[in-house]
Amino acid sequence: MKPVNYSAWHLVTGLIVWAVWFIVVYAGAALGCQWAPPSPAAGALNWINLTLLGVSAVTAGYLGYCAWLSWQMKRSATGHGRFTLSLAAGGYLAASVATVAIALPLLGIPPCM
Amino acid sequence: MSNQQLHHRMAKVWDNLPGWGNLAAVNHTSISKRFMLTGIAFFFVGITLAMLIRTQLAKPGQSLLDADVYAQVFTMHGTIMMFLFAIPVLEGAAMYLVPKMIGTRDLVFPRLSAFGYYCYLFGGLIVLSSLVLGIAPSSGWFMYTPLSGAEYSPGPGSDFWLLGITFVEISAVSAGIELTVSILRTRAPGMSLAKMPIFCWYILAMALMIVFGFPPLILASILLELERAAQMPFFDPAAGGDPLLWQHLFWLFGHPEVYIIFLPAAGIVSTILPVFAGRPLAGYRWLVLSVITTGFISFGLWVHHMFTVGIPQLAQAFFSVASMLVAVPTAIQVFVWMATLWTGRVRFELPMLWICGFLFIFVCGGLTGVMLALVPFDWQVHDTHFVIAHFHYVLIGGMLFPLIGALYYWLPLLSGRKPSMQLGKWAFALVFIGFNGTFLLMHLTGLLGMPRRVFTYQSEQGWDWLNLSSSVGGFVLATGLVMVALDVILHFKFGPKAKPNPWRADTLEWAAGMPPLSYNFASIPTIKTRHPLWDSPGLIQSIPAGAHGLARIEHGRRELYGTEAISGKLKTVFHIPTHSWWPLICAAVLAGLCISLLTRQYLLAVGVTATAAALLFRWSWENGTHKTMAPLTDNESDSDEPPLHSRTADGPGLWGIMVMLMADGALYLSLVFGWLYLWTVSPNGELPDTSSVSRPLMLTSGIFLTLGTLLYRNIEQKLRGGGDSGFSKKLYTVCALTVCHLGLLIWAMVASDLKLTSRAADAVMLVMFAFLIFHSGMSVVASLLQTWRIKQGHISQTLFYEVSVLYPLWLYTLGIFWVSVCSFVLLPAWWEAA
Amino acid sequence: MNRLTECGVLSSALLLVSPGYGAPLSILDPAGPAAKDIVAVWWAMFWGGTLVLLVVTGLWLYAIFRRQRDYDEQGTKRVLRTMVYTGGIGLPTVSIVLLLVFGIPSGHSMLPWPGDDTLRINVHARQWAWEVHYPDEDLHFTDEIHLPAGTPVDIYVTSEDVIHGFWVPRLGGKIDAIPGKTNVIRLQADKPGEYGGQCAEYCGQSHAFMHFKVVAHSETGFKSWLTTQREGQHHE
Repeated sequence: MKPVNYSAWHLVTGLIVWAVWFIVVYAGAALGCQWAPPSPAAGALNWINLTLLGVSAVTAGYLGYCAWLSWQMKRSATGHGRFTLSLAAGGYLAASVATVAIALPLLGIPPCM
Repeated sequence: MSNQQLHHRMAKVWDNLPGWGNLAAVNHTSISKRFMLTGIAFFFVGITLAMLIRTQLAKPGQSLLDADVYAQVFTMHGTIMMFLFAIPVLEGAAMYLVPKMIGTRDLVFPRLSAFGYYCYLFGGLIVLSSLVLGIAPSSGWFMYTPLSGAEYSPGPGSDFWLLGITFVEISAVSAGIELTVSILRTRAPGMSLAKMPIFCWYILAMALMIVFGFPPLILASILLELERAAQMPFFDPAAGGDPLLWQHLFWLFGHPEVYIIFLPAAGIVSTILPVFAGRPLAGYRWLVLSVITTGFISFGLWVHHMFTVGIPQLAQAFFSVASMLVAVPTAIQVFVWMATLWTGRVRFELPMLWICGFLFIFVCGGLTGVMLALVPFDWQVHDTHFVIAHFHYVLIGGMLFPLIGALYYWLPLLSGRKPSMQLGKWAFALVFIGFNGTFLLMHLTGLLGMPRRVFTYQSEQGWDWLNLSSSVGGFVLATGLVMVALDVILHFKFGPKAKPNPWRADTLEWAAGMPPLSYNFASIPTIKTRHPLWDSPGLIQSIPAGAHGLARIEHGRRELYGTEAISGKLKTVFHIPTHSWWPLICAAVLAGLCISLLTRQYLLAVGVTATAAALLFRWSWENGTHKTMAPLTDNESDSDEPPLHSRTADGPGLWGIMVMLMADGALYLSLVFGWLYLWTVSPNGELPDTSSVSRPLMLTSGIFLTLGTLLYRNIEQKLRGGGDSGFSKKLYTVCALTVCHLGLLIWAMVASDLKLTSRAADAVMLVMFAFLIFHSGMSVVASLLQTWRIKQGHISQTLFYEVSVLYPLWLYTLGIFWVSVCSFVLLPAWWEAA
Repeated sequence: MNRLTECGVLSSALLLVSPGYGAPLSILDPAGPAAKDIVAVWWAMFWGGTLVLLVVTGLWLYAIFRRQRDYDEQGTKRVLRTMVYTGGIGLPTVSIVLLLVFGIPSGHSMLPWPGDDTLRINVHARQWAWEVHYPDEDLHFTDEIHLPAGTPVDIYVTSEDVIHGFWVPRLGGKIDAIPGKTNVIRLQADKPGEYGGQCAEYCGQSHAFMHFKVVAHSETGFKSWLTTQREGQHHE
């Protein structure tokens, strides 16, 4: 089943996924530090950052794919469909970019200090 | 029927009652004007307080105000400007314009508008009275605990803030719900989302942000008031609480709040600017995308108010990047506006002057905002005058300038006259120069180390000349604002008469008459383009001539077209209530509740609460086929209009309850967040001990609720499917099952050994119990009332709309029960076992 | 409308000639590595920001007052795309990348990394004073912190009652003093001297007077100061 269709929900789905991802990453880092804090001296490559980076890469990839798909579908759509799909594509793309940008600090900053 | 007769009859149905009867008005035009006027009155109080601040700081070592009075003044200045001016005025503007722009006659919940207004008025007066009495809140407008707590603020000041502002917030949330449903469901036929005026996109985003953004603050206020009044230690580290929980909840509201204020103002710019550029917006879809993106991202920024509280650097980095990212959709808006001007032919009239002032000031504030998002820089300037300068640039630039522009732009609707540059340009010059004089150099004051909220300073700090110039600027600014007020007042007498659609605008509000009729449009046109008045200028004549839909009024009901949310296809006719005293009565009783809590008359408060509940239910009784709404008539099916919504399974109430449950859900999630936060992140948190909560009791209780809800679902589905003759009995069974559930739930709460005043987790647990009991109780009472309505003939096998309206509440009640059992009772045990 | 631009130019000029950078709590007169880093970032942001402000305002006014001509749909689209891609997306993206490239490492270097050899000082804030404690020497002071110049010092900050803000502007950023929580901030003074400190978070009546001072000694000066104090406090 395709993850994108003509429904107006797709205006916001991308950013809802982003919001859930944001909560997972923010809460995940906090809970991870509570559970088994890696030493700050070990740098950014520890289990917390790597897990969260994995989650982020999957999320960003999925959102990017949805953006691409919406854009493809928009080309053949007419009327309302064009409007919602082009906005959906923008929303998915914005969400994907926001995910990548906000995840970047995971590459360089240890989580618990 | 002649045209004159039509208008006469319409007016009879839609006009307010005369004289004192105006207090029972529910019409959106009347109510929104009251919102705006009251807001402006509070604004001038806020300005006066600002002038006191600037006078005190004009010179070092001044003694005009002592430390305590100064604290009350700055706290009230912020509180008034945010909660009693900015939000209500923008809501008022939205409530005034939205129905007119989307081609409908009123908002969908007119009584709720009136109720919201009275809550705002009474709450505002209660908050203000504390200042007059000299016992105003004094811990700053964000009320950080422990300073605002019982030990360090023993007087009633904090209570005034917590209770009064929460009371005012009822109006914000109800406006949020009602604007959302109105925009989605009452646009003129044919006005699909793609053809909606851009302003409505902004307001839709603002309304939904209110729905999700205000509940965290309402929860926080309830918790803090409980801590102050009942010693429940949510924020006390000695009992496993955490003062930072307050900050999280507050800013979870507080940052979206900035965009709640900015978005409508940006919507004003996006509406006015194309009119003066004489061309459509160059990038409508870019703007819609920016608005949606801003709406979401702004909920991921709140920690940037908390960079100095010692949060791990990684978390700070997430919020830092998110705070900078939000600049992108904002910049996109600025450049879409610029492209519109670039490709248009600009007429430079008074509103444009304010829009240009907005641009300069807002861009400046946006730039310092990006700077502040940089964590190390924030560590230095946080809590200094730099920040004060920054947010005044954002709020005055981003909100007040467009708002004044809007005032001039829509003034002809109120006065029938056109504003002029004569006095207007001088007022603008004073405000613009005064504003920059006050706040531009204040950045430097902050960089030279002047912290916020100091009531005085010593000369050797080197801040003298900066403060003096800010004070002079402040008075110039205030003079300018008085001059704007004067200009507007004089305009009502001396302004040149305006032609219809004086600015040559494209949106429908200019077809509602000058001043607008109480029913806005005698007939509702079908909309084919995004710019109705540009593409069919004849609408200005044909609408009042009754040439379009819904032009019949013999039935005496107030009616709107109900259209599909996305496509704008005509579906039903919404009948809405006429004037009513219930909003005023209920708000007055709630004000009584607020005062009894303030004066700590808790026994009285219980009585008042019961009265309020009874009155609110009484109000809800006047719905559907009640004689004051839309009683059944014999020839209903003869009408050439679509069916009335209460005769179908879909209507504004259903949408209203769903949006309301979103707000409720946001409150509930904030509570779950607080629970998890205290347990895991807070430095003094520990694994909550929930062993004293009886699991068998909770599970049995849950089974009863599940059965009740499933049965309700069964009723609702059978009614939709064509009827169920025994549904009345089944409804009694639902209530009986839920009463058993409630009994067991209350038993479980009483039997558990909660240490309410010595363990924060236990206190949160009690709030959770209360939350569940409230919702289950609400569902039962509402369904019991339905059984009564069945007897009265308001609900039947063919009139089952009200049963459908309540269905989401049942589902929600069931949902929060099981989520609570899992997260509050089972999760800690599971965690411990792991 | 040139008034807008004039105002911008005038105020920047005022900032440049302003004589007051040397104030006792001035961020613009840094005396330690953290404060120096931040002030460098600030000036870069200030010039960058001013440039952006002037360009955007200038373009805006030009768009309004230039000689106008008609655009067809394609032409409008071209203008829109150019503006949105360069100004709406490109400009903030480039600015954000630049800010983060310089900003994140500078923040990184200010953190109290464990394992570094530093002096520890505990600061316990209360309404309205700063209790200072040297755990190694068990010395107590009020509203006065002495430290050796040229060495990083880790200050452990907490509070007795309400939230206070510990801040020595000329040495570095601030950190909140929060009851029930201990925060650490690393400060360093490059040269011996006296530096002003001030409570930054509103904490009640005497917030405005909740000052303290930081005295940086030379390395030998600090040692002899410690000896004197130890004798003084422990033999009383």
